[in-house]
Amino acid sequence: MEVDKVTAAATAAPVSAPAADDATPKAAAPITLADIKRNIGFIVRATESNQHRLTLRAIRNTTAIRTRVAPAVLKEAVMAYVPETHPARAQMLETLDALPAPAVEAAAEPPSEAASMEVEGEKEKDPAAPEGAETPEPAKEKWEEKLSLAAPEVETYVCMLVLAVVLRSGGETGALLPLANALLARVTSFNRRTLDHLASKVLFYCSLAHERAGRASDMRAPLLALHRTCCLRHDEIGQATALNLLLRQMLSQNLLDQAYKLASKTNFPETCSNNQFCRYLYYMGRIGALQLDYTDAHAKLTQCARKAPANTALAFRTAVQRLTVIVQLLLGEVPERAVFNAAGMRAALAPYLQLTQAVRLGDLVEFNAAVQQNKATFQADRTYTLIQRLAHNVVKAGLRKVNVAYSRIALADVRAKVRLDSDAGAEFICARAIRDGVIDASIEPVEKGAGGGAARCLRSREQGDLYATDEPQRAFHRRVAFCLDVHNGAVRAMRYPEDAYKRDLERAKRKGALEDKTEEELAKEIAEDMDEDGAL
Amino acid sequence: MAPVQDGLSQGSALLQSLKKSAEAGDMQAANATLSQLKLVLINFPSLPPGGEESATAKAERTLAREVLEVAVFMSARQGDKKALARHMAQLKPYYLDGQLATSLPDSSNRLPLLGLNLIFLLVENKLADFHSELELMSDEDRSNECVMFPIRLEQYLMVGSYNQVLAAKDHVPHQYYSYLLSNLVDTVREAIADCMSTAYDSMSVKDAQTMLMLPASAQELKNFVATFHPEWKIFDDKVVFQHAAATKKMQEIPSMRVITETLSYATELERIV
Repeated sequence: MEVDKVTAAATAAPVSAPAADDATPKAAAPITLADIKRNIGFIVRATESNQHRLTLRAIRNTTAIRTRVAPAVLKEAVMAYVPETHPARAQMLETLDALPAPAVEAAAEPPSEAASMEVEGEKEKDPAAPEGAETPEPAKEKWEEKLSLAAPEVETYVCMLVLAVVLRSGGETGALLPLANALLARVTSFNRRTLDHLASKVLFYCSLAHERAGRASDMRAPLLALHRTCCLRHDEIGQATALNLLLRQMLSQNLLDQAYKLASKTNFPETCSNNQFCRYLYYMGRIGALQLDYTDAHAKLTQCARKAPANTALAFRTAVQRLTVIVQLLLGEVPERAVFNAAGMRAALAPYLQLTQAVRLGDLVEFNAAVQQNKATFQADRTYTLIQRLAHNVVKAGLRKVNVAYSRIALADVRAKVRLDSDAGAEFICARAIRDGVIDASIEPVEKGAGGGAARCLRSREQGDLYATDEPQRAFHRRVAFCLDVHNGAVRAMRYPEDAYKRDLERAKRKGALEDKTEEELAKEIAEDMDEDGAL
Repeated sequence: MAPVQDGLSQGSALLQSLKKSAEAGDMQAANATLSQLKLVLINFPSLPPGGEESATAKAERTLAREVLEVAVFMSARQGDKKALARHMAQLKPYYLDGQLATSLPDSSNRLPLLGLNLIFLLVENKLADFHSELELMSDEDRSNECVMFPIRLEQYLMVGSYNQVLAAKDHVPHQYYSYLLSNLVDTVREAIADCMSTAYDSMSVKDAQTMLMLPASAQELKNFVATFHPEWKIFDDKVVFQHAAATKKMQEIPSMRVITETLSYATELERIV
């Protein structure tokens, strides 16, 4: 289940942060309480100002902490930030005590901050900078007060960290389940919108713990209940997470019917998290592909590949690509060669390249050889059943080749070329291919004297001039519509800082005050403006 | 617990008589017994949706499973598609992973019945469901002859080797499959007719008869054409197919569409600038 592990990693390591596994070899400064504290600063500020992006930022910065923090440090954090009344506090401390301390790593620059700044850009740096400096002397009391206001968020954050670290350390996951359940119960007992993103993380880790312990089905009922609660509370990220976890679970158990029904009866909040949406698209693509809705599956998978993080989550992208290739083949298209050469995917996609080549050539024998040779890989990738459906596409590809090459050919020859079983079968197959629109031809009796008997031949129809139809116009329209869609999506995705318009308003007002000028002056100004424009 | 015990002994007695009448082909008696059995089964607390565990749970479930298995075979034999789908839906929880399936030893009828269900889905042309069902089976299951058979049938149907579908009819792996397969022939015939009308311009009546598997008489063909494809014309010894979607050249400029599209470009561009 390589795929699933990676999808897990994909959510755990959000788009902009470096992947967890990439970060480990680059030995970095050991994580201290200060690092955790900085993230807590973000969360406090997020709670205070009700800005989700700050929470997201803290979550993003967590990747480095999660991968390298020492249990002792984490224990300190639990002591400091989790109130003693928390039901699972003792349990957490116990579990952390049991963890072996990680090997001390040599110091280097911490990647987390650098990465987040790259993404967030310069604009973000300023408001974030004073955060660390805010703790000293005069602000101290204020800070304490703020901290107490955001207590549930901070507590949840630390709990999430504990859960993630313990899960990461491997070991007996079965023993972790009571802790995970207790934390989840605690988190879900709050009803705060500022908690949503953190709570969804806890939910995710809790579900992962069950999955690792091989008891994924235990989570189904709680997940369904949580999904309902999230819907009622308009907790979008919670809905998205719960839905994805459910789909993942059902698909891993091959409960296609249930997954399909669940997906068709729910709405996925598309805007709340790109990563969750990405996973959702993958699951929907898979459901579509397995249920023979290839066109839809293809659209979903392409969108998913486009939205997937560009540098991380390699295995997730590979899984998407694998499925895309097969769906394309099932649709009768041949994937582009470049797809198989994408960085890091080459080895994983090699069996699929072999398969594609066999389908493209329309060679049934080679196709079967390719399938047999890579059967184990396909089964591990869970694409084997889909690949078995490809056999008839191979025949169709072969027929198409024959149809293009010959304007008229006897059916017996077609049979020999495509390596079919019998003449009668060949006639049926050709007829079917014509009906499906695979080849543009008709079947006619051979003129008397030429072949004799009831022999028939396949005659290609004249290719009409495509440019005489409105097909090019339609294609053009499709592309224009797509580009406009992308543009609109981009505009919608832009972030507008709150209160920014107030500043503009003020400036405009000030300007308005100054602009109590005479008409003449105004006219003069306009003329100057126009001059300037001209100069530009 | 007493009523359950009574139910169990009564149920197994009824099951015996049900099997006997089903095997003898006395469907009327079998149906009557089945209704009685269903009433007995309702009283068992361990069956879905109750699912209570008890000392007799295993016996209750085994009985229920056997009853349903016989019921599915019976409805296949009678060609009662609705009953078949209903009984199959009831039976599935006993085969899939879960509390019900794991508490019982494997049934020898499992694979034949799953195969039967697959054929049923093929006949109904529910291909998406067919593949969903297939996904649920393990590799081992799929290599069983009873399951391989419908898989092969599906492949023949997809490629268009209709003659092999018909050939397969003669060597079915399980006797009950043939009841459903006769339905499949009708489905196949319609598919062939569909293909013929696009692939051929015309063909002799004799050839059409062989292709459509109506070898008896030309009258049979005429009836078939009259019911399913009244647009076909039969002249003496020739069938001429009317190409409904004959090469359509652009007749006029689709002005309305072009106008809407251009206007939408204009508004969108306006918004960008």
